[in-house]
Amino acid sequence: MTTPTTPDPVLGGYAEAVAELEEILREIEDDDVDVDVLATRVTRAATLIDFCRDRILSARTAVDDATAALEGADPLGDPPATG
Amino acid sequence: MADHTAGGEPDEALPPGRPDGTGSQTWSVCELSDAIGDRVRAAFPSDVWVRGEIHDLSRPASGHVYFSLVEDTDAGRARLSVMLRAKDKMRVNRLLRRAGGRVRMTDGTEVRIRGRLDFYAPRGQLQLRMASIDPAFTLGQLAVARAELVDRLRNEGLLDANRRLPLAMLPLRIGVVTSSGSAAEADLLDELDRSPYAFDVRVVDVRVQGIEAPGSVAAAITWLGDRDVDVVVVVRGGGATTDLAAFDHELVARAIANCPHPVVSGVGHETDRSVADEVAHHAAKTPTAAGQLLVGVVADAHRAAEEPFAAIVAGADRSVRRAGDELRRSAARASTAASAATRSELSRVDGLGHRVAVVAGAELGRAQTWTADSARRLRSSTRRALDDRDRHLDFLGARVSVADPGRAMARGWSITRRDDGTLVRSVDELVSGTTIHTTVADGTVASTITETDAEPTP
Repeated sequence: MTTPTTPDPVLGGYAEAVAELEEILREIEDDDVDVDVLATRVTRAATLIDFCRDRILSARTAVDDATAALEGADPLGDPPATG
Repeated sequence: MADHTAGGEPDEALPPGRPDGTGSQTWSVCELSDAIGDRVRAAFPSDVWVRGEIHDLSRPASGHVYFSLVEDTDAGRARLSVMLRAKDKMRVNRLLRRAGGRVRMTDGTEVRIRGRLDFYAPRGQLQLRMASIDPAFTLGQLAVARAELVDRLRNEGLLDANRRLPLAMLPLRIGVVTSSGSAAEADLLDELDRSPYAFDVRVVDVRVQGIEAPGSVAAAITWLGDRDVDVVVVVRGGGATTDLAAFDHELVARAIANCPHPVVSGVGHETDRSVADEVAHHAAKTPTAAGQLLVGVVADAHRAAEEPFAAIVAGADRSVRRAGDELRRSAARASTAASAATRSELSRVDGLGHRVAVVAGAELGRAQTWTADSARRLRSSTRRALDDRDRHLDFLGARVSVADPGRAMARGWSITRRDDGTLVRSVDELVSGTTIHTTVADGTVASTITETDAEPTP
């Protein structure tokens, strides 16, 4: 019996991860997919999903921070103090 | 005129002379002198008034005064010796002083005097012993003579002949007729010297008093008439009216009238006015006044010469002042206009600044609002996008979960493999005695096939 392999790290970005995930889904939703391959792919899909969720969360945090700064910014205010 | 030299037989009224042995009566000088004296005194027992012109007046140390009374007529000159004894002189002087001092007994003076006739034997002279004088006669004579002379000169057109001459604008060359060393000369020259002008003075020394004075003064005037001078000045200090007689003399008057140069007279005191004054071009009252007159004429010319220049200077000064005033007014106007313009510009700039601030503030406000709105929209849209992606991931995850064999096994499904690890998909693939490995949710079990029973596919 072969042991499931550790999924490859996500090398690209979110879009690449989603694209890979869509491809995995098409593959595992095929009835002919080998169960061993299925397990590997599901594991990979879970990794990609985690990656994507993490990116979404990071993006959400970054967007919240950025938009909060924009909403509260005073266009005529003094520049930030330095030192 | 009586023949005073007549001889002839002695008058029988005379005292007889002593017999001299010749049969004739002979007088000694003394006898004759006495006889003459007696006759004279008898003929003129009291004082007589006699008039004539004083000549050869002398004042010896004795205190007496001697002179001759002279009268010139067509027939010749008559002369009478006069003696004024010291004791009578005081009375005469008193009379002269009463007349205001205007008459003084000097040579050439026409006088009317009173005295006693006598014969002065030591000199063999008929002599008038003067006792009194009539000053009014002298003054009157002088006045009459002066008036007559003025009339004559007027009739001859000479009275204003000299006045018709043009006076030089700058009478700097002056011929002076005066007595050198006199106060009159000093007064005149002092006046000229004190002026700022360079007078060229030529003084002709003359006698200004006495019988020779008229001729001396007239000759000097005539002499200067031929010289290169601008004006002739005749000056003499004050004195008795009789002292100034020369300047009432016809010789002097005619010399002045005929002088080709203007003549300025400055004779006597201020109250005196002589014939010379009447005919002169200008009559100054004193020598000092004559000097002042000349200085004044030169000063007038000087001023006349200076005035145009002064007028130009004054005009230029006025122009400069006007220009300065105009400049100051223009500067003030420019300053006011500039100030107003500056204020206007400042106001405009302030207005613009205010508008800029308002507009900028509005714009910035709008920008701020837009930015905030944009941020909100960005966050909102981003959240939606992220939510979509989240949901999509959920969907994908669900789909993955559906395919996850682990979840199937958790529900009781299992996976069976052969010894070689290959999946068992069909009963037909197995025979009795074959060992198979079944994986369930929590582990794997090994089994040996004892029987197969294929079921029909529903």
